[in-house]
Amino acid sequence: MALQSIPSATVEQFAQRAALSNSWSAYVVDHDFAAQAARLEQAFEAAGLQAISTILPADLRSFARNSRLKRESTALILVAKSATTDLWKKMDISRSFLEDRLTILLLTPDSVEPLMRGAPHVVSFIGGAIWKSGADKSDVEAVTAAGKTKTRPASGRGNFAKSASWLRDNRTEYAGLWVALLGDTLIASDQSRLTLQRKLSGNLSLRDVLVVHVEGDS
Amino acid sequence: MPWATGWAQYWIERSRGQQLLVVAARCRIAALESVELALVDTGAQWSLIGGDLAKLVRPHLVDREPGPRYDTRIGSLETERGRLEIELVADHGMDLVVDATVMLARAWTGPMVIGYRGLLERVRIALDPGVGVDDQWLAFGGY
Repeated sequence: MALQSIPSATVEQFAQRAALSNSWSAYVVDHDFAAQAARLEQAFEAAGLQAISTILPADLRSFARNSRLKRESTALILVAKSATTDLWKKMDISRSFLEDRLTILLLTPDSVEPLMRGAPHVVSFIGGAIWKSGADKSDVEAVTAAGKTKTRPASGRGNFAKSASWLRDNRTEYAGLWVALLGDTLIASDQSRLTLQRKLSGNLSLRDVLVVHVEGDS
Repeated sequence: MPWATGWAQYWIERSRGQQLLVVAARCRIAALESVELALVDTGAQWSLIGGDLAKLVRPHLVDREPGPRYDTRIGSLETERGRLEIELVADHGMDLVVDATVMLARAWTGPMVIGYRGLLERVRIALDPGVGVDDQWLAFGGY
């Protein structure tokens, strides 16, 4: 994963998401490492979770036996400052000792690539939950901030089954075309999606019109 | 408040060129009004709109910015990223309107993809695979 493709979040936003996931997450910071770790602990405590941070240990198995880690409500922050591929490989082997625990990897940018290369199983635990530090004044970048939702009365009105039936019956004749269907009624068709949209633009309302590409039998 | 507010039929294993929409649901890109079929893919990092549909949508993308390169099964894509209102169309209950963040990639020839970040992360969903033809139901609700 290229670093520029990793979304950004403030420490507090990251902690909120990580606490909700109750699994593995990673947070990339490029400055004030100790301060960021302390701030992350505070953010977890604000979310109702105790957190401890520690340098990523070479012997994770012994470390996991530490009695302090037996408390389930404890989030574990593993500080991996400039961790090498070899260290990640060891981590990958002993990962199961921490598998069920809320675990945060606090990384430097130069640790991301060795992590991806050396610890594929750990990466699978993390999934897409890898974030980089964002500026304090901003939230998650405006464009990537989680959007709100609202509801409107259902508009499907059972048209889907009718359209599905039409497509089964007319699949051969219209193969390769874009079609616009209102239930089981053909409104327009064209080889080009752009042209079809132009044809449809004269209609008063398209809200009930399903636009779909008809595939052939093969 | 019930966890799901809308129920919609979905299609399974619908072909789209070289791609297969394993779970194909209806959504409405508010700016276009018409209803599109999209692949619901919880494994996709982002929602993705490609080809001519991307061209139609682009003028309506809010806060448009260059997006990251996006790795797909057909290779790495140049993208633009922005916000777009997308409605999950319900047959019963309520449509769900999501202020979503999506990627546009003209080079993407596959179906519109409803992915996790920026869209599904704000939605509760459940799939009822049903027992017969046209008996597959998607339940959804928002936060």
